[in-house]
Amino acid sequence: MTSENPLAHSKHVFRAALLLLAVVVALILGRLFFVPETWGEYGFYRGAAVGEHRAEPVRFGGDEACEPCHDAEYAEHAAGVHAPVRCELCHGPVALHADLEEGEKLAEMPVRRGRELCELCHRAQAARPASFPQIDVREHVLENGGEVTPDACFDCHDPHSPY
Amino acid sequence: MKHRHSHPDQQPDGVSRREFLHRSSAALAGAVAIVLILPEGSAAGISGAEYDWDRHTWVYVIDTTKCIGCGSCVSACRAENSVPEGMYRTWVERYEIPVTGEAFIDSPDGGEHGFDPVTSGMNVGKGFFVPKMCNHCRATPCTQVCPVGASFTTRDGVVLVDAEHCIGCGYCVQACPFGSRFINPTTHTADKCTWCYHRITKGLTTACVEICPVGARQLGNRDDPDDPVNEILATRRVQVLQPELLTRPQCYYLGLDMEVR
Amino acid sequence: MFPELTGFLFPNDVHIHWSMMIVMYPYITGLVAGAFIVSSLYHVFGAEELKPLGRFALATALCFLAVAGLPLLNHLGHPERGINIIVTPHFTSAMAGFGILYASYFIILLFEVWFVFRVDIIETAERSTGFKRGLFAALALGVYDTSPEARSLDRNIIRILAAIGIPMACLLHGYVGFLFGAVKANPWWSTPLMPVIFLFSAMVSGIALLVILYQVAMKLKGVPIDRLAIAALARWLWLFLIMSLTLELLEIMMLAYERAEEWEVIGHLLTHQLSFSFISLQMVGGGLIPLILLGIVVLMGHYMDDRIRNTLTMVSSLLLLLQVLAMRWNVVIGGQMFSKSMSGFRETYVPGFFEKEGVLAAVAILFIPFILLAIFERVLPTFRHLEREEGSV
Repeated sequence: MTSENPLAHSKHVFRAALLLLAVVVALILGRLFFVPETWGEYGFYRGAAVGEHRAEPVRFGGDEACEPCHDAEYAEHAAGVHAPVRCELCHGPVALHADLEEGEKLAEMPVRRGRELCELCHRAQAARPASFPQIDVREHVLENGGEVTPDACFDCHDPHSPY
Repeated sequence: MKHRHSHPDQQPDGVSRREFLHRSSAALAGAVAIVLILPEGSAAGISGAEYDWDRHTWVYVIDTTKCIGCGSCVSACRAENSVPEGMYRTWVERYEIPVTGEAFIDSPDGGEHGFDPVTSGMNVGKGFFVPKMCNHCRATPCTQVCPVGASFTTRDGVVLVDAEHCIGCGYCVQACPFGSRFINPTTHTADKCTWCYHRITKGLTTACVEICPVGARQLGNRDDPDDPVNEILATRRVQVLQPELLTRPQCYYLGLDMEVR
Repeated sequence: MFPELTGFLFPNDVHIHWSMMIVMYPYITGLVAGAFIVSSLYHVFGAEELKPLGRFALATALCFLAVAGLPLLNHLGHPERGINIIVTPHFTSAMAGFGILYASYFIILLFEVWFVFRVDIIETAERSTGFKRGLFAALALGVYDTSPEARSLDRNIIRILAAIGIPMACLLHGYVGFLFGAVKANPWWSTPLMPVIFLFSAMVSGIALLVILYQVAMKLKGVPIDRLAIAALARWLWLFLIMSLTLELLEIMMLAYERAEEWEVIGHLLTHQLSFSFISLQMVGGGLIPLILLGIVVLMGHYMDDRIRNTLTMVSSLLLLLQVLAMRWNVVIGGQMFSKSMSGFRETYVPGFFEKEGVLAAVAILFIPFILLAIFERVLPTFRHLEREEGSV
């Protein structure tokens, strides 16, 4: 059969191709609509995410944050062997306690108490550096004629300046 | 060009004031001031006042010979970053290696509540604690596998997660060889150590470094020749975790043992 | 809190983040790839004995592909952001290819189905009235050309689409294997063999599915099961099973022989945590036994009664569907049963029944394609051409 026009019977193919083209174009254009505003500002990520991370609240203020209100304790602590131990290690982050900007007290300062607190650092452990002061609390208290109570450590030691 | 797109380099007051104001009251005051200046979720990126990320390359040094395993870093990290219970942006591992026999390794609650003495009565030849965290690798597999670009390395070398863009597929969690990532059960997105990006870009140090009572942890700036970490990296023998994977970790360890992976 | 843990695990490594859903995803795409290859064996490679299944295999592939994304969406922490994978595809990640691969393959399959069923669509449109007529007219894109020239053109296009579809199916499924194979942090996943293993087990599962569906459909329709078609399916199934088992065993033997660091973990995994699902299911019950049964069918087929052949292929296929599911489970869950500390294991993992990504959700998702297939069969009968021989494709 000598066909008059080879494309005569391909109308459906062109319709299908057109439909495909429309879908692909719609997908590509639709995609652009969803790309976040600051995308690619610094790299293949949402630039604003960096600022959002920076804007997270600071909660630990360091010992200096405590000094304005607690200068006596601050001085005692800074002069003793526990000076490298941050106030917030035992007490918790300052942000829970005070709004430094407003100079306002928000809540009572939480404090970890008891011999479990001391034992975190000073309980004898094979894995601790040998030079670090460490004891078996029970032995240590009994040796020194004390009584093994939950707060036994504080009978002899002031945690701010233990010696 | 709109202002929003301004390059951090073009900041007129770029960095001149940037000193490592470690633990000084000026730093805290500065931090508070910047918190106020910087609106929540600001599109300003990192070109905010007094910090230039092109003049910082953060690195971390962990001295395992100093760590006493108190776990304060783990709880401080949790408090500073609202890390959900049972998940860890940092943790401490304990190693007790007997003269002969198998090493004993554990990390109960990530070391957050300290360590009870091992009661097995083995003849420990050497023992030590190893704090772990995200290594902020230079060639990190985690950002590589993120399918949507929700995890990225900042110009100052910190690996972050965009919790607004993350789809929560968990591929990065699988790809991290160090177990540093997890899916946050509250946000349902990937979560990890940020090296306290909100602190270190305000002249403060990370919460874990801040709280460590024995100086086993140190954060420093590679681009600042006077930073003490550069002295350590230049003169001491340091090691990284799983170097064979070639991820180029940026947490450098002193006193690491072959048992540590 | 986690009594099922032994040894030392990194504290963040105690979770199974990739759940049943991530087992189902490669399982379903595997079925798609396998079913598609069967239709291509006929459409492209001229395997005439598979003609009775040519259309059905295509419809099966489409119905399973339609739900392949569901387990992934259900797994995402933020399904509503799933579109980000197309909006901002991060091409350093293998996973970013998902959107493009899935969409392209879907389009190819959809068009192939359309060209194959176009004449049927037109005939249905011409036969019906009202809404149905409108619907089918729209499906025919308004062109009612069923001339021999148009049909011949269709046949050529189908062959081209089926040919493009083969590498696409391999890519879509090989990509799933790649996702695992390229995770260097995980010694149980990290092997270049992974995509290949996934591909061959995909063929196995897809062909097995068709053997079962075809026999069930013929029983339901009361049409005799085509002896040549079943014999051909059994041959192909046997071949792909041999390849698949060989590769799966090779991987393990290589690791065991090398005695590299990984083996300390993987050897333990295979003999403890995965002893049932790997040794009993994947290797023996779902591997060796079908291998023997299909071997009998293929080698002694000439002397075999049809009913025995049908039963043996049916049983083998059921076992093989289980084998491939076990293989997916062993890869996905097995890879999370140990910590990256390489010194700690999770002893067991039993997915919850009712939880979001639990067993019920998995079964429900796996059930949907069968419903879709039933609907498809209703709208466009896939076996009609068996009754009406001339000029069909």
